[in-house]
Amino acid sequence: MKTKTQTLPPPGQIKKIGRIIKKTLKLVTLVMFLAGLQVLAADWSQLSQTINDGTLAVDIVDSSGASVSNPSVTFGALTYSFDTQDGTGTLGTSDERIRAYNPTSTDTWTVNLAGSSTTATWSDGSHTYDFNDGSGYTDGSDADSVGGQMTVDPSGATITGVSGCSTSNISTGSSDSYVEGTTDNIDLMSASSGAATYCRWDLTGVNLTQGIPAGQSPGTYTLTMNLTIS
Amino acid sequence: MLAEKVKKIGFFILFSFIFVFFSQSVAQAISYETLGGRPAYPDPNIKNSSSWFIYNLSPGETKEDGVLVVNNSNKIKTVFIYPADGVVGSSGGFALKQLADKQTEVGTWLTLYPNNPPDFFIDIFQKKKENKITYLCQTSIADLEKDMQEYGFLEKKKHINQNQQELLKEWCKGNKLVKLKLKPQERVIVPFIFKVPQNVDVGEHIGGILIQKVDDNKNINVGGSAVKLTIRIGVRIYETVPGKVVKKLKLEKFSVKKNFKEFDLSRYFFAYWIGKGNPKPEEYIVSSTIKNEGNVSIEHQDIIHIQNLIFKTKKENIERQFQVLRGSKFDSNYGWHNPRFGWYSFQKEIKYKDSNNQVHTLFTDKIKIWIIPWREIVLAIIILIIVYLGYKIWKYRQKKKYGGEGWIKYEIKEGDNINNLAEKYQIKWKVLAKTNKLKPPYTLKTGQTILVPSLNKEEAEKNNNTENEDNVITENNLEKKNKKEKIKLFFQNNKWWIIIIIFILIGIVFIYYLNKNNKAEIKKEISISSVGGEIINNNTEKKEQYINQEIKNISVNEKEKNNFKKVEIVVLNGGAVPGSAGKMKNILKEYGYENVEAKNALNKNYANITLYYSDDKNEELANLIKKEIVEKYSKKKIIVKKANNQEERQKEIVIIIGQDK
Repeated sequence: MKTKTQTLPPPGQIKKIGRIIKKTLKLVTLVMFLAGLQVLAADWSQLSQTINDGTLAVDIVDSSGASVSNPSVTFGALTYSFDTQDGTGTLGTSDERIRAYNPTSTDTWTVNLAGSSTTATWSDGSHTYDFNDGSGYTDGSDADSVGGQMTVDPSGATITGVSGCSTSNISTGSSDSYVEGTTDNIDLMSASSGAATYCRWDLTGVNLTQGIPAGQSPGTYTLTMNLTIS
Repeated sequence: MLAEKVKKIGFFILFSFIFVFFSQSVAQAISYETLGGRPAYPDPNIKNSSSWFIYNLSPGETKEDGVLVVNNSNKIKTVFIYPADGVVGSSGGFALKQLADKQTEVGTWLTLYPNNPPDFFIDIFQKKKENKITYLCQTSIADLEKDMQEYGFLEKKKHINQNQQELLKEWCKGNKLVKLKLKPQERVIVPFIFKVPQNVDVGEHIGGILIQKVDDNKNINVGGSAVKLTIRIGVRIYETVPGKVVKKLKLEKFSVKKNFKEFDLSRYFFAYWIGKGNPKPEEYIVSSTIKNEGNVSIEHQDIIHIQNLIFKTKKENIERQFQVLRGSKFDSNYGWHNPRFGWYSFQKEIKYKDSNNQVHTLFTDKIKIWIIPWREIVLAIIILIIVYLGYKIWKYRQKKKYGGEGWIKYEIKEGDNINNLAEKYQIKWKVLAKTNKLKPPYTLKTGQTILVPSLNKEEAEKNNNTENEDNVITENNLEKKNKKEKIKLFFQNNKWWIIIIIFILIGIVFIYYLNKNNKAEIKKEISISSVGGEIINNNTEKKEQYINQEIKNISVNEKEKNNFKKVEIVVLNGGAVPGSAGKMKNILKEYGYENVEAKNALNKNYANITLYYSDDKNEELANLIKKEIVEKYSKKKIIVKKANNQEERQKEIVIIIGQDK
């Protein structure tokens, strides 16, 4: 009958193997611990640097707070009409919200919307219509020869404090229409004395209504506007 | 033993692993991917100088400064940097002109120097600790040569050649527009010179430096007609040219307006079905317009007083602070979340300090508004109508079932009971009992007359006619009964007409209050009382012009005049608008009267303005004061009188301002 026999290494060798295992484990543990410290150290220095960079800012961000690369406000498609008609859009949606940042000790600021210039127009490359003609749908006595007027209504918009920031003393502007040379900047949101500092706020639901002249040629029109915080 | 040691080390490894893992997630820096800008060298002694440029330069004076431009993102960003004039936004907020717009004021006073000077001059430029640009551009060539030689940047006997001078001259022109490419997290200081022209007027001038993101993808298709947005950050500039600063606000408009429709069903149903998000809140908008007639921006306290007039509860005071820019109008709006019912008054109070730090207070008249819960009333009426109609339908059906229509009279014979009669006439005993209004135990007496269904039609019709005759007779009988039953009958017979008339009356009241609420917004636009300005009340029917006031010729010498200025004067408000006494006190102080106080009079029924003197020796003074103030109060009647009572005698001169009469 065969029997299996096991041959153990001598006791001295077992001890040696044990010592090696012990040392290896200690080394691995130390390395991992130091790696953890390194991560913390690197991120701590990054954190303090960011806090020092406090400047007033505004941006268009998505629901996660990431900056939107080409922000725009799309207007609903319309059909050619022999009469005047209105196009509507919403500035500040859940995916493209206006975010105001105030990481400073100054509590007063304003966000407003204006055309890229007082003589800017909607254009599809060939045809144009206005956004700030005081006569509304028809051409008035302004510099260009086209009619059209945009109304911005932030009065029903919603201001939300990000991460629990208070919205006290933060208010939306009133509904108004652009008139060249008279109303070139429409206030969307402003903070008055006593508003929170080192905070952020989102603005959504600003209604834009564009009065379009009768018989406006079909096309895909764009208008560049500036969103400013100061 | 080895196994134990291995176990201990194993736990230690596990701990380290957890430590590393969680340290990664804990160490997340807070950042935002935007551009930013602020003053590069703020003065800690000036409030808000860390966010705005605040200068007090005289005409011709120059200031060298810098703007810090920051790229907070993790991407390369290209920006335009340029100065612009300040303008007023649609609601009175601070705004700046666009790049393409013509700059005419502060936007032309600032020149940027993003680059270093020509290489030849860099050493001397960097040697200077401050005002480097000014030094380099305003020092004469000869002095520049001397300095450069002194510092060893230019060999002696050598000169700055023509070419170098031209390069320097070109550089000194600076830039009105700078284009910068900023690396991720890069911060750059762009120096500039701010120079106030010689011919500017005293007071505040506003502008700013814009940091505008350059749109790299102008032609990106956004899928339809769209507004493309560009982001700008403005760093404000407030330059106040020293001189006589005037601070004056005028309250122009005050209104309270309902901003919702009572029966706008889309708010409640369609907004959620179509998914247009939260509907506009139901509120009253309390609005006012303030005009800055001074030459600097003015911060003011804006207080709205709201009071419940039914229960006279404590006033609700909403306090806010705003800034009105020089020469502009500021619109403030406050959304008041109204209850569904009540009677409320609204009043606005504006407080600000003038250039002498005196507090001015402006008040509006009160606007009173009834808030009627029309929605609830109409809903209640609709519910009542439904309930009433339901009741009528039920009654009709009950009557049809248990009214005994077409039934005939039957005299109870011996042996009749409710069960056998019900069986005979093929109806349920309960119907028979209910129609005849029988009560338990439903015993029928011989000879009793009850109604039973007719077994043939003719008899039923004959019975109906008999019943109608009976009814007529009944009505005839009722006419003879007391007044109460007559009224009851009247309402029973004419109830539908009464209901219609009630609805018409409710409709009239509804329309009346609807129009009344709408008119509240324009009701008090011009009834504004002011301490710092004029009292304007277009609702006043009497407008008396006191142009030709009788003014005695007063001639006093200088010594007397000085003595007069020390006399004790008290100004009392005896029924005039709040703040009138304070205003008069300020005017007298301007005229040099040293001991003037303002209070309220005990009696509020005084008329016009009366100057009371206690002693005859003060009559002359009283007339002098009248002469001095008549210009300010040209539309008021001013009388000088000898004091008659204790209130009029409390000081040497007592001025009581009463109501206009």
